[in-house]
Amino acid sequence: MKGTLKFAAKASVLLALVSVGLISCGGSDDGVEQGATTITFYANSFETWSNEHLQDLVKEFNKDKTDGIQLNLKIFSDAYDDALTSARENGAAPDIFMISYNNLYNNAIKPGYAAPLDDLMGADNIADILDNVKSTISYKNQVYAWPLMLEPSSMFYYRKSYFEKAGITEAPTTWAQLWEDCAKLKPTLNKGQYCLGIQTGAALAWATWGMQQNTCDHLAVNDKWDKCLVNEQGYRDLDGFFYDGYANGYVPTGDISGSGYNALIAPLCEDKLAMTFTGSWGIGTIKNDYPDLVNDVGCAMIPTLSGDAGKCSATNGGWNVCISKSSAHQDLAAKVVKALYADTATASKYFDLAGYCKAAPTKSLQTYLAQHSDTTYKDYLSAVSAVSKNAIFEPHYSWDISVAVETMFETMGIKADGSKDAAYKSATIESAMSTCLDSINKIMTSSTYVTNPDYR
Amino acid sequence: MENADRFSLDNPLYRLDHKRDNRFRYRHQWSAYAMLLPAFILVTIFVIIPLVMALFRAFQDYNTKKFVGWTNFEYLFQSDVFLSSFGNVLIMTAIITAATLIFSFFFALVLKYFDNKFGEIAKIIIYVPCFIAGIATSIIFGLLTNYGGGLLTSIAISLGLDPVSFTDSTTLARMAIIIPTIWIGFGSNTLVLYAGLINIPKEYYEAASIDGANWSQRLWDITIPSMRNYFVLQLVSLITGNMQMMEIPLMVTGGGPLNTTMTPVLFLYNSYRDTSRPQNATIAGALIIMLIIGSINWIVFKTISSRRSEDA
Repeated sequence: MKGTLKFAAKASVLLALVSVGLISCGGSDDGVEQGATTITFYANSFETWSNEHLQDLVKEFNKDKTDGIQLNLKIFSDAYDDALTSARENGAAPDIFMISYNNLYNNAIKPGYAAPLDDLMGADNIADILDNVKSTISYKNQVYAWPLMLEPSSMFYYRKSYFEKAGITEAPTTWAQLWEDCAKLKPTLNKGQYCLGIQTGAALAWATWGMQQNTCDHLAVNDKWDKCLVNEQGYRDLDGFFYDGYANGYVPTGDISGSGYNALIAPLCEDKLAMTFTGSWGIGTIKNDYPDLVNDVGCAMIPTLSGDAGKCSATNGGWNVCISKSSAHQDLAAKVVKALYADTATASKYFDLAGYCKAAPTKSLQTYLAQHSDTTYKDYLSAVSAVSKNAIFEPHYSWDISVAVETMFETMGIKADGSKDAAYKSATIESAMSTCLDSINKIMTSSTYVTNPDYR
Repeated sequence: MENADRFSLDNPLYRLDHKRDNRFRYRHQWSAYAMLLPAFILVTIFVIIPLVMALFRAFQDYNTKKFVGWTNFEYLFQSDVFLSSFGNVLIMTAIITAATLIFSFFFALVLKYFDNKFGEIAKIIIYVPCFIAGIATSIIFGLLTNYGGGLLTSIAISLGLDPVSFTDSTTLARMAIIIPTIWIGFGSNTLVLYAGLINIPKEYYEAASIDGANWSQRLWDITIPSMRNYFVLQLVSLITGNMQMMEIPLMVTGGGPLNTTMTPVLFLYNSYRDTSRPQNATIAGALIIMLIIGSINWIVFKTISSRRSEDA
């Protein structure tokens, strides 16, 4: 017994020594740079490949032991906003943080969390940002964020093999053509297969911003956000579009969308849909999860009322990085942002991995990608770039307004119920519009309602 | 000396005894307080302080921490979705509570009747859902009812029928929440009522049988009155739990379609995550829900005044 205890004690000491030795040896490659300043970077979690790519970038950055910077990356999933708030309240705000375009003003610029970047990033870099992007990340002529990418919220995907079987030669560009194609596709599909996938529920709130802009030349409220504009012909047309899709049985009455980044694109690739609307991120899913279908899935601008290819058909979503105003090392943080995101060759890796489902936010990156992109994805890249070019940015008026509009479109799906009676359709549209108008007017009378801050 | 005088504080002997008694009593009280202290500290940290903070925050702006009066409450009372969510949750709670009590009670009666191996196995089987989280329950039922490829859809398609979308129909969506909620609580509720049933003295039934009472008479005149306190307990816990339902509606329908399955807690959860809404309205709403649930429980207790079984 005594011998066993002695052996155990010796083994423990040996194990501890070996562990210490291993840790010390490991430090020679990946250890912390002595005397370096630690820059903290809070990032939101995205697709697995995207998170891994960011981790690789940081690892690569930290390999340089002479720059005086050690980058400490923290990736958060659902708790990202909470983590950021908590860090700020505890006086430990990260030096760099990610933020989406639609939250930039309300959550970073207005509360004073973001530092102006014009001086930190340098005039050349600032001039490289696309003009439409610059306008949405600026406040009083100062840029407050470095854009990472642009994601058009609405693209049109179709299965070429299904089109061929139905005798369809090209992707539809107007609603009229879309319904004609649906009529041709429907007889070729089995039970449980549908012609067209459209977002359902709350997703319709953001997914239809581009359609609203395209059909009505404005969103649900005026620029000052103090007048509701829903009671117009454009919204009647949009309601009619949704009604027709459901009434003719082209669009599934239930949610078959899958979830997250796979929404709608997975059912398309798994033979449940012949065509679908979804964001540009669908390309990433095709590339990573259904690589065999890259040549069978086409991607184009969504069909619209007029079919005008030069009009807006989507919103540009996406993310930026900001440098904290409270950071004591803003210059070093800017150095990190330049190395990770402003260097064209480094930044382009992200777009390669994404299968070009995101559009570039800078002129130099746009040119670089056009020259260097993988030819397999050239069509996707050109479709996404074209849509992104004409897209508006996500509105940051009260989300409740978008939900009220979404409810109006959702009502079409619930009420259509197979009825093709014109009078019933018209009454359904008018009733839903009236409810939407009332809801938005009520939202606007609330004392908590914020009208558009004239911040540019 | 008269008894009254002997036990009077004017009597020096009694006063001395009384002092000793009190010292003795206090000594025991201190040990009781010491034992209560950990619980008191935990309740203070996790209940009282958060409640006081919640009261303050309900009247503050989330970002600036400035006092904004009734603004957060005003936002909630102006929201049609929040107000209608109470109607939704009341309907679902009423159905879930009634169905759970009835099914659990009758299944507990069956278990009592099968007081053998079958009964033992049945008890274990029905209790299994209690180990499953609401989120997991939603996923299990989702696999059954999923419109895109759930079991029911597959069966419908194989029979040449059109699939039914349970979560996108205003009538079926509530059922898609009610059924898993009943399923998840059925086991524990049944076992509580079963425990109540086996506690009813057998002599009652023997006496009733001698008097010629049949099964239904014994049920209505002995079993149900004897179970009164168990029913009150179940009623209160079911109402309290279901009025706060969130997980299953969030996972199954997300509050849709057209907000017909939106519950107050789900609305508040969504509000907190939406930075364009006054986020402290979530706290104001939580206080409102607390008041409403407290009031409903108070009414339940008052209406069905709880009392002990006469023989207990």
